[in-house]
Amino acid sequence: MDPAVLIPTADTIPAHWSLFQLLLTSTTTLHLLAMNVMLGISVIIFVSTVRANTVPAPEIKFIAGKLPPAIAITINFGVAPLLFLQVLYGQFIYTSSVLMAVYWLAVIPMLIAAYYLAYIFKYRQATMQLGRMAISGAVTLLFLIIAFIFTNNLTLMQRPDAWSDYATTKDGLMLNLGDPTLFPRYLHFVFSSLAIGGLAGALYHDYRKRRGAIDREEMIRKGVKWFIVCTVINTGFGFLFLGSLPKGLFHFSTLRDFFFVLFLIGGIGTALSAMVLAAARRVRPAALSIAASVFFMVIDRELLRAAYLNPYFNPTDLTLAPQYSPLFLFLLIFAGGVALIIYMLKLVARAEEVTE
Amino acid sequence: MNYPVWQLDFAGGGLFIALIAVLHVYISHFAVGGGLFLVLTEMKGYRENSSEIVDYVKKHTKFFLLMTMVLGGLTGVGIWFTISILSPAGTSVLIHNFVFAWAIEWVFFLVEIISLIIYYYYFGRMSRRNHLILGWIYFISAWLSLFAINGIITFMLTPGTWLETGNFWAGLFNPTFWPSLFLRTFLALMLAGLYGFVTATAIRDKRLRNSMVRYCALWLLLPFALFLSSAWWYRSALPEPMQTLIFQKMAELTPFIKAFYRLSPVVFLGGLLMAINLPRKVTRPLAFLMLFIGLMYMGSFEFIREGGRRPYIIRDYMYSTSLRKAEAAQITQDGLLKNSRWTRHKEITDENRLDAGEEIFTLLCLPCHSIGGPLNDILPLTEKFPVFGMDAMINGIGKFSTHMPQFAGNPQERLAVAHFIIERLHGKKETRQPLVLQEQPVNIPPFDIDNDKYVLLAWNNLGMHCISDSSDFWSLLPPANDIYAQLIRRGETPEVITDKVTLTYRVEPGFENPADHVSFWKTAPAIFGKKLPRNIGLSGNGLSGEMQSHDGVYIADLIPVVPYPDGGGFMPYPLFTIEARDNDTGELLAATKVVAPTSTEMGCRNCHGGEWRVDGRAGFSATTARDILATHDKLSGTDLLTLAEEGTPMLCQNCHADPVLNAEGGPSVLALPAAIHGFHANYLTGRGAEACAACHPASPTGATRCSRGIHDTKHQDCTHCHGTLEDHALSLLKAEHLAGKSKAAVLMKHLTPRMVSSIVNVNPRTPWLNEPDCMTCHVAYEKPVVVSSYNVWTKSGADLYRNRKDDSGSIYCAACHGSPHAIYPSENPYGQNRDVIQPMQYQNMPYSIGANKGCRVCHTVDMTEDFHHAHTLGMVRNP
Repeated sequence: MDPAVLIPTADTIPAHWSLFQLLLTSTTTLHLLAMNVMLGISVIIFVSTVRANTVPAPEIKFIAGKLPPAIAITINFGVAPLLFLQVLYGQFIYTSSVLMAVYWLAVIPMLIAAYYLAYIFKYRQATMQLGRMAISGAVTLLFLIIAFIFTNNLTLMQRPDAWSDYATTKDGLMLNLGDPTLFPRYLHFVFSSLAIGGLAGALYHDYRKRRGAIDREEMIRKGVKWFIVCTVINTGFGFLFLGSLPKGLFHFSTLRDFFFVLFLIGGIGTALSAMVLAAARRVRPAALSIAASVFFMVIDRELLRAAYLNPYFNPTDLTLAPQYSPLFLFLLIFAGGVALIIYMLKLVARAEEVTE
Repeated sequence: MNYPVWQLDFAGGGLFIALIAVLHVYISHFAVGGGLFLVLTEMKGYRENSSEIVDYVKKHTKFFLLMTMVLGGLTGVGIWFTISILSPAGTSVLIHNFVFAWAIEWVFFLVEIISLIIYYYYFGRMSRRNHLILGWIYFISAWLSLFAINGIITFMLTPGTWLETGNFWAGLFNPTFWPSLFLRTFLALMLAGLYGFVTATAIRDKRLRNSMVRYCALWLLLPFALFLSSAWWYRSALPEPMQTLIFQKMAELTPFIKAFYRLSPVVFLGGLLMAINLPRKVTRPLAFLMLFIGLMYMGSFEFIREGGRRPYIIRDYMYSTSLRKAEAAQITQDGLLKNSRWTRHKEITDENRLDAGEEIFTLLCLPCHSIGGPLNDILPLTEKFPVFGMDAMINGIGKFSTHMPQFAGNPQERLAVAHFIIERLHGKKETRQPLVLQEQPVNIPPFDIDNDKYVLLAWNNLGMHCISDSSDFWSLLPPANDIYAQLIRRGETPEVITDKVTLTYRVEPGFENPADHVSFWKTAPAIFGKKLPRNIGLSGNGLSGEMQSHDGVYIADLIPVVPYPDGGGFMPYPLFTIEARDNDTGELLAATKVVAPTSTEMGCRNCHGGEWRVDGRAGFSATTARDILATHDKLSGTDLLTLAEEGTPMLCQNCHADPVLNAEGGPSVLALPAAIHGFHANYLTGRGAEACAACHPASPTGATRCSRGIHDTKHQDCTHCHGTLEDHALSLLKAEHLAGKSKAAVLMKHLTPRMVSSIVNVNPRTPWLNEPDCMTCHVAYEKPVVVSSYNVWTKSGADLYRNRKDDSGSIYCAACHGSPHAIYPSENPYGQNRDVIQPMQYQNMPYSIGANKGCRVCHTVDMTEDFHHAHTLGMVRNP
């Protein structure tokens, strides 16, 4: 069957597609950064509980307190890209979500469970023994499973050629396991999280150190080490992922392919520079560098999707039925929201000053 | 149909969305009202300089955060996941039209969680003023979040002018936006009190506990009147048809409406109860009970709102099946499978019928029905149907009960779904073998053409006569058969004898005791207002007796014959012996036999369920009769089933006018033939004579087969004279419509005439009086050229075949040509000669009396003139 026949008809969009692409790319970057921190923290907590004797209790308590807010922010930052993804690629993501409905819906209870377990860990970890490892392990495992489901959905959506399996799998139990890019891609994202989780820890302790704390050097060192080791490993997974891409996907003759290579080089370069900076204990520039790397990789991720879907669809195909006044209101409210958040963070900073 | 469908069976019908949505709205409203509760209670603590109250707020904040941010936030995302899986097309419309409303809501959500996290983590760690500012930021952003979502939720119910303009603002600020916003805001405040009970009752200090519980009770009780007023406003803002649908038509919503009405005082009284100083061991469990009652309360409201949107996911734009309203007509015409991207079968064949039916079921039924699950389970709803009835039911859905969409597929697809539901889901396998009928020979009475002085002709005036042996529940037509007879004294100039003779009738042995077989005599006082002696009919005639002379013919009317012989079984053509005797001498002048057709093979069970009552081939079972009343009660708001079960069964014609029983009926109620044909035609469109045979005993494979005259032999079926069921019904309904009966329009709305170009061209008619006219085809008694008499009606009862006479004005048409629907030469399914007794008796051939120049039967000599009508002297055209 011609896969193109299966692709649902797209709805009209109320603003130019490039605007949504911009919003999608930028919010995906935010989401991935937050998710990396969240997953990274959960793995660090788990490892800390395994090595309970070597990790000081206050350290575990401290990290444990950061996990629930990280989950909240990750979820919130996930809402926006999922929204804009549906605007540009709704006919694909809805379809793949239906095909793997059981797994996709299972994300919600798993996330709820992980979230509550994170709170239980935060409030009860000091009084638990084996439970600490079990709970932090469960949280990490749940996140890893959720990540695997996301990787499946976001790869299945760009492979209409795999959709025809629906004829025999209508029960929502389809996965994209036949895709050779699936596991390299998944591991690439997971190790990215481990690396950035470590760097986030280093960044926080660096912040505390700058504000006068004197016992943070060891924590920064650990975080940086974690970041560098995982990034080195992740570079390997990155190339594995690149090598697993279907032959002929890129012809290196179009502008899109050129940009793919350009941003790939940019992503790798900024990752390398982040490692060098981190090794030199220049944590904040390292964080900026790795954020830039994630941004470049997200752009490549978008270009990769475009390449996969090129035979069937291009966002430029979408019919524009413009209504700009809601957009302006959104931009206004977004600006107001950002201002309010900055204001609230200032209130926090002021409170911290008072406390210290 | 764009998207694949997740093949849910047990969890079909939106179970997931119902579960997650009710949970989410219950928490998310708390997230709004509870925000105000936090900040105002914190202020109260400061104002009263009470560290205990502030401590309570801090603890409540933890509960609030764990409840709203984790469970509330994630179930919100869960709803999004769920609708995008269960209704991707609808979700896509909402996303693409309101992307910036969603995006705005996302900003509010972000501000919400950041402010709440800081509010919680920095409780007591920042200045009171700044902390309160954070509390206010949280509440305002949470309420604005509700503001944005409210626009999208209400849009789905009442899209307003968006339908014409596609304008974002028109869709968002739709007709129910404001009442819904107020209702939800007040509800949110009430929920703050309800949830507050949970933490307030946990306070150990009695004084503080009682004080805070009372405080929470105020949160619950103070907005209550405003909440109910908003609910009323909300209801009033709904379009009138939707209000009728929700509050009157949809029986499925009745439990939720009742629950909402009944729980309102319960919630209020519960709040009052909490406000008095009860011991903790009472208030603690009561707090959780109240929380649960609140969930039921809110759940019932959300079910009503969701239910009211049916059959749409976006009202007047997209059906729950994800089909756009604008596309439905085209798909119905072209077929669903061809227009669905994800179906494997595109055409229906004998081999793939069940699989294709399953695919159609998945597309059109599963969005709202489960298979064996708790929501809208399809199994009990379809249990009563055979395939035919299921097909008919699907044919009619959405026409009267507008909470379901009309079937969006072609007739083959409809039938395939019916097969799938009945054969695969219910596991019923139907084998439709024609019934084998036992031939019952007839002894033709003797006739001596040279010496006999009289010819006795007898017939039944309807030919196809049904009775409803369902009188324990209701009655449509009682046992009542009319036999006519004319006695002719033979001679060169024969004479119709109307006096000085007595004609008697006598049913054949075995049929003398109808009261042993039907409950008519038991229920006659209730239904007909008179107690009848056993085996005596409504006119006083029994199964034997004298016929009355009236205007040149002898009549025995309303003979209560039934098709059940004493030995058991079913025989719809019992014979009557008619004898003519001289009054003075008592001499037997002539004798003949005639069939009195009487059948209980009314096919109501095809759709109303139940089995045949007698011999697996005829008669109403209680199940069938009961279901008919239940359906009538449901659709017309009557209480007939209860009345029947309490011993007061009804005659349909008590309310519905009907010339056949001289019933006048109610002034605004449709005449019975118009109502019954008009209603059922909506379920049986696009069919031929099989639609007639679905109800009348005319099926060629059934137990009666009462279309048995020459027309049937020549393959002229019901539709050639009466039109298709739609045409037939429309002619009746149009007359009712013109008479000012508004309900006719309801039944006509979805019917299209098939034998004329439009309803304008349908000639209205009165049932039983304006019927097909034989002369429309038999112009000048010649062989018909055009075989269709639809839409040309007899002007009055006098023109009916059964009342018409020959050119001499003395001999009834039916006397020589036989009963209606059994025109000579007629072939009775129970024996070759049963319906042609007199032609065989007098002519030894089955043709009309006097056929093939057989004038001597009456005239004793050959005649040379077409006396009775033109072509009388012609030869039989259909030997």
